[in-house]
Amino acid sequence: MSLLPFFRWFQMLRVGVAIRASTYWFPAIEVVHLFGLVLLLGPILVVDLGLLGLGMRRQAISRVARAVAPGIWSGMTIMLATGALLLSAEAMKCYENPAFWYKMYFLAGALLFHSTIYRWVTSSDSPERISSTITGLLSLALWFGVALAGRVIAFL
Amino acid sequence: MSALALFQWLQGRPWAIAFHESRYVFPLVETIHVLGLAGSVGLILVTDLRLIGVLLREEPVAEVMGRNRRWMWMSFASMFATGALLFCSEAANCYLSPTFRAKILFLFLAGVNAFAFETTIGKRVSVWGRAADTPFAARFAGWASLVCWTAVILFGRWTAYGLQ
Repeated sequence: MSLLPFFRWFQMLRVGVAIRASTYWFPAIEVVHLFGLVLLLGPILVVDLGLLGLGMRRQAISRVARAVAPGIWSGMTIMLATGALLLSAEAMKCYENPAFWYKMYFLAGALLFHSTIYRWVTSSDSPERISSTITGLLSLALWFGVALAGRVIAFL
Repeated sequence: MSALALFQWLQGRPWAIAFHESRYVFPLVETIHVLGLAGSVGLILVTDLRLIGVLLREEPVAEVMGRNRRWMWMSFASMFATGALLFCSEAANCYLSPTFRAKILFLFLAGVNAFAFETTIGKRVSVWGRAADTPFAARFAGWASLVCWTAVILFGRWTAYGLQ
């Protein structure tokens, strides 16, 4: 099944048409998208560095993860909402952009990982060294993959 | 020699032109700039949110930045170095851009705020840093940092649109 009809439909939504018609909406939404990135990546970095034993060490990782969770969820909500708006403004352009698809693969991987293995490992009081190291590295790789591919969209 | 003439000279150097027109190096440097931003401002933001009492209220303030500080500096250094390179390639354009000037102003203010915090109330963090609620001066520094970095990102992105 091709997603092309969905992208065609998404592109023609009233909100996308409105964003395209204005000079300022797209940049304004993109700036909020960038704020969401910082808000999401900051807490994720704190947890990942903790998992790798390179950051906060005196605290149990489960405590740190729980304490920064509101930041992660707020950042993720902002990113997904503004991301959907940006996509509605240029759905067809994205459909034809390979970097966009890499970004979506990384994002799907990151969300899946975050809501499963990452959650299990960071909710355990004393995760094994090897599993916390792998979890920290994978999380960093997936989220930076999302950010990297996202930036490349603009260059292709 | 005026500042503008200096920046025009800088922007006109053959290496600056080659860098600006390169198909892969310029986007690569710009990408590192954004990733450096996400890393450094992300970690700064977490500290700010602790100072104003939003996140990590149960952890001591000193621990929140603590060992994360070197990663913040490493990200900051990569952001600063790539930023300097990007500036060279459009020095005169940046100099004349009101949004770029606003960005530099807020970057400077963020630095002054961090310096003021570290040399005054930040020095006594072991005294007050364990409590969930922080003193007024610390909350003020947290809010000031949030405002300054938000402005830096806003005007930075805006500058890139203006120079296109």
